[in-house]
Amino acid sequence: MRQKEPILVRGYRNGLYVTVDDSVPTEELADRIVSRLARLGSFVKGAPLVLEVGQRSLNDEELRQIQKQLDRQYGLRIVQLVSGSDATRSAAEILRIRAVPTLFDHRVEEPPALRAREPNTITIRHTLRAGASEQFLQGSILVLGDVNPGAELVASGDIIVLGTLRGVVHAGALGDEGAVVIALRLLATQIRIAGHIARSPEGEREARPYPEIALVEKEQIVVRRFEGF
Amino acid sequence: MGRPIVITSGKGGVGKTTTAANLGTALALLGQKVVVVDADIGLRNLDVVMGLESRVVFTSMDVIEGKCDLNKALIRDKRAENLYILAAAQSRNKSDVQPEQMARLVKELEQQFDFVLIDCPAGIEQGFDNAVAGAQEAIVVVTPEVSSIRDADRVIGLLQAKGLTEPRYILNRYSPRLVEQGEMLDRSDVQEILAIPLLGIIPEDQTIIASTNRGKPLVLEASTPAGAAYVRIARRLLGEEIPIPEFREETGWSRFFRMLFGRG
Repeated sequence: MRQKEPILVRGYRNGLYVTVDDSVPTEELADRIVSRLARLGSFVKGAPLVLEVGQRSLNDEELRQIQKQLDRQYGLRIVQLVSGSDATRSAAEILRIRAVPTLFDHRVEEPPALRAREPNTITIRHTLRAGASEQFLQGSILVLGDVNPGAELVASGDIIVLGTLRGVVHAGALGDEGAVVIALRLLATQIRIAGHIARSPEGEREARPYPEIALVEKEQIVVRRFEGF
Repeated sequence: MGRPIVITSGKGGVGKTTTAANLGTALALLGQKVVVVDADIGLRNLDVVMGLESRVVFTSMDVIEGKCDLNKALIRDKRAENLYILAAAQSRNKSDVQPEQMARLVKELEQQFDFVLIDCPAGIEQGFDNAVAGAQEAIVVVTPEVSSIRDADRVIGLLQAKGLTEPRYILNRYSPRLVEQGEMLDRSDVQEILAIPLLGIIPEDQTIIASTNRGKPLVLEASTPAGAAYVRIARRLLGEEIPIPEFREETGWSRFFRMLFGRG
């Protein structure tokens, strides 16, 4: 039986939902969140963050420090605070952060990696051109079109491109090493799965005339012909 | 009602202004009434490329600010009849104009002209927003370089988001020799990424630099390959169906004869 993780991270729309157990000391809170995200290999920089801090009481100065540190190290923006403490919620109001006593009825139990293959999939029905960026942290992304160089896709689950993939993709962005990337023509500039990164080989990689799949094997991203599961 | 067309690229130095000047001239020579608007406020050079710098008295800014009448700011070209330009203010900033003002100006020009070509500044900031504001069609100029294609791709996405859903592109400075040597991206590589209709290809042509410096658009010398290509594009804009030539590097017999009889 694994020990209960004091900091839980999971996807929430296009951002993160982080739950911090009351056992985590306030002065370590920001550091612990940052190291947890780093351990997940996540590059969800600049994501909106819903932070759940339990019953602890925070004053506005403490909260400001936490926000500053998260912003500096991960570019995370606290958009909502979930707290059982009145004092903490009024501290949030001072900083103009929306604060609520509860967001979900159900409690989050298992870490996201275990519930990774969520059935949620969003479908993008057009080509993603340079500069386009899509993030979905509650499941997989399906693209009916190409992903051009300079475009970026981030999903907590799989990324499937029914077209040519030339941009940068990050599957399993919340730490799911079982996530995969599949494309009809796989020519990605960079593929990230959980905490692993694979660059396209120097020089032009020739497109294979068949679909390919990228997945993590023995701590490495490998690419091979996709012939179904 | 005229057709307002923005000529854009994202990246600088790929030939937007040269394209605007040459297409404008070519359309005018084909009998159309054309105005070319320089939307590059603060860094104007359409008037220079067209050799009309000395005639600039009023600019689009003066019209927008109500300092002068539109017709007073229009500068007539010295060679082509029916061709006018509207210069950009040199000493002002792009933020001094709002997209709505630009749109209104273009609307007014549409009443008088068959074609309103808008020469867009490089970049995707306010200058781009302004230039695109009044346009109903878009031409993206791209050179066969990875960075140019990347920026063009981004610009196509932005144009589509602004409702210009069917932009076309011109592949500029295409060198068949370099393509054959494997040093330049092939036209099919560009087409594969951009995936929008190709309006035409302008072959690499040294004479274009001289023509730009002399302030005389190349189409006035239709014997040059680039000048002829611009004329073909102008005809395509008018709805004629002219196939895009292959632009092969000459080999074998043609080269042999040329060497035999000397250049020319």
